[in-house]
Amino acid sequence: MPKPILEIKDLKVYFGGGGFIKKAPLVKAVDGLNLTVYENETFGLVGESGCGKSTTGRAIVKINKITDGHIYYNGVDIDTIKGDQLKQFKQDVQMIFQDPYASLNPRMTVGEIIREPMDIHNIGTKEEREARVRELLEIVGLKPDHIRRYPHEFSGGQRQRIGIARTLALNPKFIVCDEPISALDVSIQAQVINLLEELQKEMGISYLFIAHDLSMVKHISDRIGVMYLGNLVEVGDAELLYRQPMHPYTQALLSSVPIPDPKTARERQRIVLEGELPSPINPPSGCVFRTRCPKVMDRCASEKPAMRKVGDRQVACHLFDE
Amino acid sequence: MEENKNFEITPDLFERLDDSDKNAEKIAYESKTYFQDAWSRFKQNKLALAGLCFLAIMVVCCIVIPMVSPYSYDAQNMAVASQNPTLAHPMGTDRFGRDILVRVMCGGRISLSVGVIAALIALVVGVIYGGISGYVGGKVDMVMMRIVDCMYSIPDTLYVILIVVVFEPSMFSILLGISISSWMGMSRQVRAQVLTLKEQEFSLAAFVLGASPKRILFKHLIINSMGPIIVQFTMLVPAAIFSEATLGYLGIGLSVPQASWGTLANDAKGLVATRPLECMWPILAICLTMLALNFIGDGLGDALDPKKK
Amino acid sequence: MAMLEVNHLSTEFKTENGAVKAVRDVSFKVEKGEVLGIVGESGSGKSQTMFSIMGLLSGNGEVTEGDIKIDGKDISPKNYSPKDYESLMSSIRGNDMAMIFQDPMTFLNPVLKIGTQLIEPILNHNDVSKQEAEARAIELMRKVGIPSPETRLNQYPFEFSGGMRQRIIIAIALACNPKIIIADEPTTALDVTIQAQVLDLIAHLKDEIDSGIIMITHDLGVVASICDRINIMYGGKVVESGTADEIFYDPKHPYTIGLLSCISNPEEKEKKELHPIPGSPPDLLNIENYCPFADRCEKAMKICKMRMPEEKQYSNTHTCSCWLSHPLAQGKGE
Repeated sequence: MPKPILEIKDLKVYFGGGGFIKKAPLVKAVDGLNLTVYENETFGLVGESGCGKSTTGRAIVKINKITDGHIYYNGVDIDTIKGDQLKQFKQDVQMIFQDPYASLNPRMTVGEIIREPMDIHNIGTKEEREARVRELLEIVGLKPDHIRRYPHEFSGGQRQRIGIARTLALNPKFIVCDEPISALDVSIQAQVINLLEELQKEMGISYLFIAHDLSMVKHISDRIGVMYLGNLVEVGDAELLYRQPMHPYTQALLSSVPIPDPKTARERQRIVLEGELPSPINPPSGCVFRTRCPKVMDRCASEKPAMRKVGDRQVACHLFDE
Repeated sequence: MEENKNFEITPDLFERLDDSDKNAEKIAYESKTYFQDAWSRFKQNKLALAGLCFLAIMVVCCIVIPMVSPYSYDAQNMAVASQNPTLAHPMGTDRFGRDILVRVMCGGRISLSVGVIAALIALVVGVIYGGISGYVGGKVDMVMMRIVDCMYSIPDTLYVILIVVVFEPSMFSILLGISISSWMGMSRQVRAQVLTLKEQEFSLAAFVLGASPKRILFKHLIINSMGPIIVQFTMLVPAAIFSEATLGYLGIGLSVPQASWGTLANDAKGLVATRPLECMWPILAICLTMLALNFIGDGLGDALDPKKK
Repeated sequence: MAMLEVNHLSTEFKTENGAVKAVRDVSFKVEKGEVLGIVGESGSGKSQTMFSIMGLLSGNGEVTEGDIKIDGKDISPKNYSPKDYESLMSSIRGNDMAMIFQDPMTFLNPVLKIGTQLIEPILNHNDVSKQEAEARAIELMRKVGIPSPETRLNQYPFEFSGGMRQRIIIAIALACNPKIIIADEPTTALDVTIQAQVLDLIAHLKDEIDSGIIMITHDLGVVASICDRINIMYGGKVVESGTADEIFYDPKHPYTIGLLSCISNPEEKEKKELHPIPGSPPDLLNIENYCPFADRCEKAMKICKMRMPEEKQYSNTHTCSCWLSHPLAQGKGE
């Protein structure tokens, strides 16, 4: 039985609602999410923009405040964590960001950027830090003489690798990868994916891999969760979920993925979803997907479907009610 | 295609290339820091460069001329009173026979140092205040910015005059007055920068790594606001010089025989009709310095703005 | 006759560090009713090729060589004075040549109603009354799949979602019956389900209209589904060109082969290992005249870093520029 490293229980993250005279509308970015990531596992979280996948990732690293619910890292609630435990948490849990152009401080050299985590946590002597920086650069496939250069001199893929070197400096146990490849060129994406896979094998890191590109997520993930409008609609083994999607949204999403194969692409029947994503300010009652669902029923409007186990899978849809 | 004809294709050219001969991670650009890069762009701007040269010469003159000149700024010599420019007195003398060149340069020492020091104080206060306001955000930001709004609603000159009158005219009170009236713009600028920068992924990355707020604020946010801060600073210096000159001209500046450009102009204002030259020297010094500083500010604005690259 | 014909196009940008050769000797044709995909990574010159054709290069850019013909009419910048060229191109853009950009908001005027922005080009290009133009606008909006066009006509761009705005842009592009439609990453900013809608629309429209379509993208999945022919660009050059089937099932250039092996095809049963192309794309600043891919190529030979390879014809439609096709290189490709 694998040991869970991260458990999310009924997570809610709302934005807005402030204001002095008039209350700003409440945006329900994440609305009741349950999820478990096990040790040494890659969990893929997919969904379209605005579905709350990035918000979830940011809540895990404490960038976004939790409105309700709990996130447990190794059994400890991260919302109330303090002192040494917090310090350890900050070392163990890291994040890789989407935009390799924005995630590196333009005024710092590559060496300073990679050394910063060790400076913050006071790890090692100056010489040891310097040696570690060189070692990390080598791990991510850059040359040690790049140490004095500035981020803007590097290409997107190189910068993303610098970012990865920085997160590795503290030997993390869990990394939230927030769309780490979507801003990269195709030939570079595979470099980063392979690097992440190698690191997992060597260091036993767990990943939460957030992306909208289903084909890469399927490639790297052990399990996949599909999000729609702040809710998880389906969770299952990556291969199985791709072969036999159960939730109507998963089916539509998978059939929309462009396939790099002209014959399959020509023959394939797409499920084209009608309409647009509803606003998270005022989500539909009952099942959030009902306004676009091709298989909508009466009870979808009145009752929010609960996550239930169907075989090895978890699905939140009334089609699978007993 | 001339080359191609002479080029003989032989089988040995088709040998596999060794990996060491490839240069797949090549970086085409030479390494330049942000400020080197900005300097190379600043140099292209001839007006700004001219401004910088003028300012440098002015500063050197202000420091050196009173030191080497045989005259002191307050030594009266009625024998040579009210002279037009001569070889001995390149700018002439005033009605007490004091050398105007020395007096203008001494005035420049005071005016320039008042400008720079007041702008520096405003810079430090503004950066810290605006930085904290922007970084903490929420209600704290609200309250801090409303205080700035309140201070903004009172005219600058009023502060300065009030403070100078209450504390007696001196270097200290003038500096205090000018700094108090000029840090608000800087704090607003810094706050706006910090607000946008703190959402940038590099500062989020620092947060995730466990960096303290102080570290994030200074090492990440303010360092990256340096461009606008420096530009704002170059605008604050002339404004402070102006304020000081205004005070001097109103007669509540430094007391005689000390002189700044403002008080010099004030002294000579009665003589505009009879001896216009005497009045013109300090005014010319102020105008040219202002112009130079504004050109520099403009040039820096362009050079430090990476978007114009 | 080809709708668009480009021969030996080269474009350079002058910078303080030297010349950036963004497009180097690019030639292609687009026929009526055909979709040509131009695939390349950032910095491959795919967008600059299009900007050169449209006459929209930024200030320091210049077409240094080449002929461009639209429906037989010469529009090469070198054959006109700068002023004549400007006025010629402004009459051609939005007339014979329509554009669809990645971000629709750069193209739509935020303070004008959608109706106005759609009716204007119809009035400009056809001899019709205002009522007829409005009727045609409604018909176009229906054609691109916008529900209840009568009311949507009176709305402003911000009231439309990203996918809907892109449909409006397509409707505007169609309004003037262009000879050629140039779409620069039209679906990159959209979500997958919306992207699928827009791609379906383009695939469906291509049979109905008389235009040639150029689709610029970095996504091989997108070109596989709708393009008839594909040009693969790298380092400012077209390295391989062929029909979709030729490119996907019989790629010749090591770069094309590399690209195909570093994307994962989710349809495949077994998890294949990704084979990334090592290194980073070349910088086009002061680039030397040898195969741009040589520094990253696993099969690179000495000659690859000395001379630019010549183009070899594999079939009527399939060409590739690589030294491996040279007789003396036999057996080196394995």
